[in-house]
Amino acid sequence: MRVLKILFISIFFCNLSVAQKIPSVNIKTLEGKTVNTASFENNGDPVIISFWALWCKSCIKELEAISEVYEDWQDETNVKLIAISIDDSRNTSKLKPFINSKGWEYEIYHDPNSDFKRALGVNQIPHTFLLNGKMEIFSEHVAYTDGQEEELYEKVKKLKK
Amino acid sequence: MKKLDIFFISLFLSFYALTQNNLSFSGDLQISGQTFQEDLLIEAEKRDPNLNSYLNLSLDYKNYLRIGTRLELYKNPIPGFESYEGEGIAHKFIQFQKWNFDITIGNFYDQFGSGILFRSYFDPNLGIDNSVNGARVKYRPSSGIDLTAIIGKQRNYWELGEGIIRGFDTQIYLNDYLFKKSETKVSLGGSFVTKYQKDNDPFFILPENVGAWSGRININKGGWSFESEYAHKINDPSFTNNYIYKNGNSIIISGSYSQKGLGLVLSGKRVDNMNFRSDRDATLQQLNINFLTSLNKQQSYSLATIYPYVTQPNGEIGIQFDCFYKIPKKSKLGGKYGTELNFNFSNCFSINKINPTDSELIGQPGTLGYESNFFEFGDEKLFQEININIKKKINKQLKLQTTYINLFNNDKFLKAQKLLEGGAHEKIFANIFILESEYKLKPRYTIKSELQYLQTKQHLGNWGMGLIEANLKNIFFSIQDLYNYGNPTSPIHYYSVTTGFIKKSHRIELRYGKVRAGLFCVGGICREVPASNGFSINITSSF
Repeated sequence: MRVLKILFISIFFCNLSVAQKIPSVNIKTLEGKTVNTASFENNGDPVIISFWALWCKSCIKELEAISEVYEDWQDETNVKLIAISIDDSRNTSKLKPFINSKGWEYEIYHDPNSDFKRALGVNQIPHTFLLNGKMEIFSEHVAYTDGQEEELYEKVKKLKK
Repeated sequence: MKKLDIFFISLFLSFYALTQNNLSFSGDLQISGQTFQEDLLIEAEKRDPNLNSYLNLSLDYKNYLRIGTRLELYKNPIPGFESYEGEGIAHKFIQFQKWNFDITIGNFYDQFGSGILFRSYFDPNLGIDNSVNGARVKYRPSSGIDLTAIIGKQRNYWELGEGIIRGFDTQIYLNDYLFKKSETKVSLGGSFVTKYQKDNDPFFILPENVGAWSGRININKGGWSFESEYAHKINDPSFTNNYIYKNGNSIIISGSYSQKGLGLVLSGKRVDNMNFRSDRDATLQQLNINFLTSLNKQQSYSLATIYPYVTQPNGEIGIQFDCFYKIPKKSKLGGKYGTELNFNFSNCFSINKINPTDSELIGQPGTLGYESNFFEFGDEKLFQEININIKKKINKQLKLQTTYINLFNNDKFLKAQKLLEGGAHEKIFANIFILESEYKLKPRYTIKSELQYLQTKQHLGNWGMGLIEANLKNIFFSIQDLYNYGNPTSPIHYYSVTTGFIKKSHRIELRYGKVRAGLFCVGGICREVPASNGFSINITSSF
């Protein structure tokens, strides 16, 4: 049971940890260009990072719901949403047509081997992070139920104050 | 615990102590446990309770230096996972990133292009962890050019595979150099991978070094895109290909067009003797170097996952077409909120195989195996699926979604389904109807229901399924029954109740009920799940 001991020690350490910056990982644009996640920025305004995939119905529900109010959110708070698809090569070619057909205005990247997902400790999707203007993690949540985007937006507004 | 592991943990902790102020700490864990009661009706065996869990920890110093590890613990794993029994450090690495270099020593995951030549990844649900243990250097000499070199051995349960993998990949985003202002965006890539394994075979002289290469291209202009990758491998006799000396190859091509409200995609692929493993005697999901996915829709409804397609690395050829269309808001058909349509068609055939010489049989061990005409389909149709999905928001509270699936699964050839007593593998034809509704009581309080029906004259016969799920802010509760009323022996209910709690990035789920025996697949990569009856708990957390 040494493993369990280590587990408890680590959980103790994690309580001491400081604000977490997003890790530096290479991901791809939908056109195949490599981008490093350390270069994410939004002129000091908050950023939402949402992990999703084509097979994840609640992820798409969350992105759909935000997309309906995204224009208002941007006008009021300048918040930017970055959607990270963790689809593997099976669905790569469907990403761009799917997103265009939805008309989503998000900044969208592809994390084909889940490198960024792993680096952020995401084990299930939907998993959504809210970052402050310094790109430090302010809050995060897993799963999505209808209407949860309103709570997320309350936090965005809190960050803007 | 091995000395190396203790050394690694001390390194991990001292690194933490020394750099506490500039350090970020993160991790995630998953704990799953299950009890097993005997249930003769569904052929579930009594078994000792099992526990599968892992904990990922990572320390990051200013994004320059990262140390990470994963601890795993498996007690009484289910059949198919037995070799994971035990506990220990399954994954450890040190990564250094600076001056356009990214160097990793230890275990790492990576993928070249679409993965048809090389992909190492972790999927605990499928029991896959083929991480490479060795070294990786990534270098970006200037914007738009990425070079990667790797060397190492792959993880094989608690040990390392015998073969040594070496690989090199290059990716170039052309528009950073040529046609900078062009609207056409082009990226190119190429990879080379070899594996080395000693030949100890008493009968055959086997190649100890097997080389493989691939090339890929991605072109985008406005709403148009085209991408393709081709891979080639020299002779690589192995258990999976029945020790034939034929070269292997694989190609994926896809083109798409999209604009607001419409997306069209057409893809095709061909695989010919492209199983590539770092140990020629490996089986199942063991020690795969490359990743051959299937070209069909990833199903999530429970009855739609009963007859999945299993990728055939020894040979398959198929196409897929997808159409996403949104009927605009406020139009006659679209209604107030618009209506979303998705049409998907996919099929897959065996490849054409001809005797290399008159005296040899197709696929005879120790020979070239067969010859194959690249453009010709084989005699057997393996799989076909038509999916139609309509999604509509009725009003602020109610959303409806309906799906029809027409399916053909050539189990006579694929032999992937569980045999019934006295039965034989057969061609399966099925129709599936699904109706899903979601009703919002108030924000974060929803009731979801699913009704599913599967009609087939073969194998287990007809199924019905019903589910009700309530999401009440942080608590969820669901009850479902899969009813195999067409079962030739006797009708069987697979009912289950689930409840759980979610807070921030932590989730706990408790479940009681029956699970059907069958194939659990992600992208054509499958494993068999035995029938079970009992309680289960699943905790995931990320911090």
